[in-house]
Amino acid sequence: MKNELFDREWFKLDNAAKIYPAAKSSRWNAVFRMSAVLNQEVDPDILQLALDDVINRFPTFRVTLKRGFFWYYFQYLAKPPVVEEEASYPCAMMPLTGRDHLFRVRYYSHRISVEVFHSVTDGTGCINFLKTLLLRYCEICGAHVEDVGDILHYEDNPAPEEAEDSFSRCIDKSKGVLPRKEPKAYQIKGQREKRGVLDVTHGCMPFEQLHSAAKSRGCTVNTYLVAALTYAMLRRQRYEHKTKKLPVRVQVPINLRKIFGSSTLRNFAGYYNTTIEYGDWSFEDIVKELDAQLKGNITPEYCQKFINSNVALEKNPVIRIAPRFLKSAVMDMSFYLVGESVMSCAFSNIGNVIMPKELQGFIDRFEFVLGAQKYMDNAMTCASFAGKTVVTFSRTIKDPILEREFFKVLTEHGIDVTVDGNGR
Amino acid sequence: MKRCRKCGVEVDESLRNCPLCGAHVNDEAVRSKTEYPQINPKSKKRMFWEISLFISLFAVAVSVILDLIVNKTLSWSIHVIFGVALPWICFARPLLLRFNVRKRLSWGFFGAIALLFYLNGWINVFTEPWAFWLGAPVAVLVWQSVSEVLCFVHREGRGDYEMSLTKLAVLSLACIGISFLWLKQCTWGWYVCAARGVIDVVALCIFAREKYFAELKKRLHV
Repeated sequence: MKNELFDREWFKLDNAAKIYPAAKSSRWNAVFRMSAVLNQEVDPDILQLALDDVINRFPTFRVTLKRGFFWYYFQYLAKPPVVEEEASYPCAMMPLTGRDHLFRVRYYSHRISVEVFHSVTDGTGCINFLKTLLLRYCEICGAHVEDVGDILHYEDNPAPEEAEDSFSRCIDKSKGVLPRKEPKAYQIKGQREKRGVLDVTHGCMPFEQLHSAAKSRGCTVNTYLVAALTYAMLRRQRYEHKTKKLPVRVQVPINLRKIFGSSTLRNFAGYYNTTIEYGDWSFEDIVKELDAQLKGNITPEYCQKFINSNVALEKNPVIRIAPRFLKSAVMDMSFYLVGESVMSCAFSNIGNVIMPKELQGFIDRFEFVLGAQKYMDNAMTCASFAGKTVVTFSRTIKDPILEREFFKVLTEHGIDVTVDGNGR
Repeated sequence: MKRCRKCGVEVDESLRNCPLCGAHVNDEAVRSKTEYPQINPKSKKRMFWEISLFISLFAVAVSVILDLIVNKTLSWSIHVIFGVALPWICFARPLLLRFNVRKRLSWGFFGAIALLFYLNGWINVFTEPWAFWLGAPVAVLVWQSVSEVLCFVHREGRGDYEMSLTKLAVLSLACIGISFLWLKQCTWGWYVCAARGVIDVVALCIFAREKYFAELKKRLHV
């Protein structure tokens, strides 16, 4: 049976997806997770039925990763995915054997989680999949939904635009490329956890309080959270007895779909690194500076240059004809040099998740977890649903240094934070 | 809701300690809906392989040190190194990485060829490289035969065995080149392997044309 959407059994990886198989190692590959905590215990049989219905709506998920001589590629996988009870740490390594799916659906207690290898999709694609899965799960449970809104319904046919490589479509060579040289940034280090362990801490808070705190400082919630993260890291750096103080740089992803009018379910995100030099900053000054950086730099021109830089590298004839193992070595090195070594922390916000009003009673909250980073020890994410915001920290070091500092900042601003997680 | 006195944050009812600072917050633990399962970070299987690897490396290190102390050179310890490395590469690695039949077969043949080269080096230090001009071609011929049978049996499969035959043809042709560079001549063994490889490829082009070219296009896309 062929993948009807593509009318062929394989397809190329998109531009952003190519870095992840190249940078993978025996101990790490890029996995992230989106979860929904329900108000009732998850029924695995119903979840399996829902997954069976939903998977054909997302043909770009029904693939496995194969090695070609020049590039990796996705091969259609006929075997159906199976839901599994959570039996390992969140975002455990995805088996890239060429025989398994590149995503998994897990459940435990009240939580349904979708974990994805980053080459398959980005946060937007994954949340779309989870929303469709939840909708179908609730429908089987007896919910009747009048208007599904922007959720992709499992009975609809997948549109070709959902499978396009938007990076290739949106290239415009006349707009130039981005300079990619940035100096090293401060990173929180500590005693490493055992191999395979990922400590996750969720901080749940009322969205209204967060919104008011941001509004009173004249910025968006996103900027406020980046500012709190930066402030927490600067404060931490002050305690450390290192003579060389480094800037704090937070990687903020940009959803390029809205800017370039794409509805792809594959990767289509860029990023911008906010930078605050080490110094005696007040929180308000950091907010002003970050607001200026984010508003002034994240423009369509910047995004166009970002796409051009990435695609130009991919289309370089020398790189194209190099064997895969050579490319992988070079890409792995660049992943470190222009990627994780110049960042203090990755931050990703999927924003407010909107579900039909009939399902509001079924779902308590959404969570977003970034898996272990290859060279960084901390990552932060945020997801909001029905007036509840969950800020999640994932770390591969034992001491929750960053989250402690971060939530202290929030509680100092009068936000009620409830924390839980998988640690201790 | 419980509150941590140190951090000032509210802590979920199910937790005994604050996840941020570890401070004790209450005696009662209640199961909640945001709970995660308790996980043992190391499985027994992984521990077995890690202990095996540690013992192997320890044995190699002790052998090398003893050999260097006693003989002032690497003599018998080379056999220990090879004796440990070969099973690890050919058996433990395919098992650890969940290789499929085709890959295990490939690593088995690689192991056999490596063993031949090792014996050749041990017996006459490659003054007469019989492992290259006789041993390896015979192994490749057997490998080609097995791949041809599997290719025929799995002709409705994904094309992996067709690709194996192509790789063996390329390998044989490359070895002819290496022969001329290394020995300044080529022996009949590699000519036979290359001829058989070319025949295999031609047969695939004739009898499985569509599938074969689709597979080549997929794997060689630039």
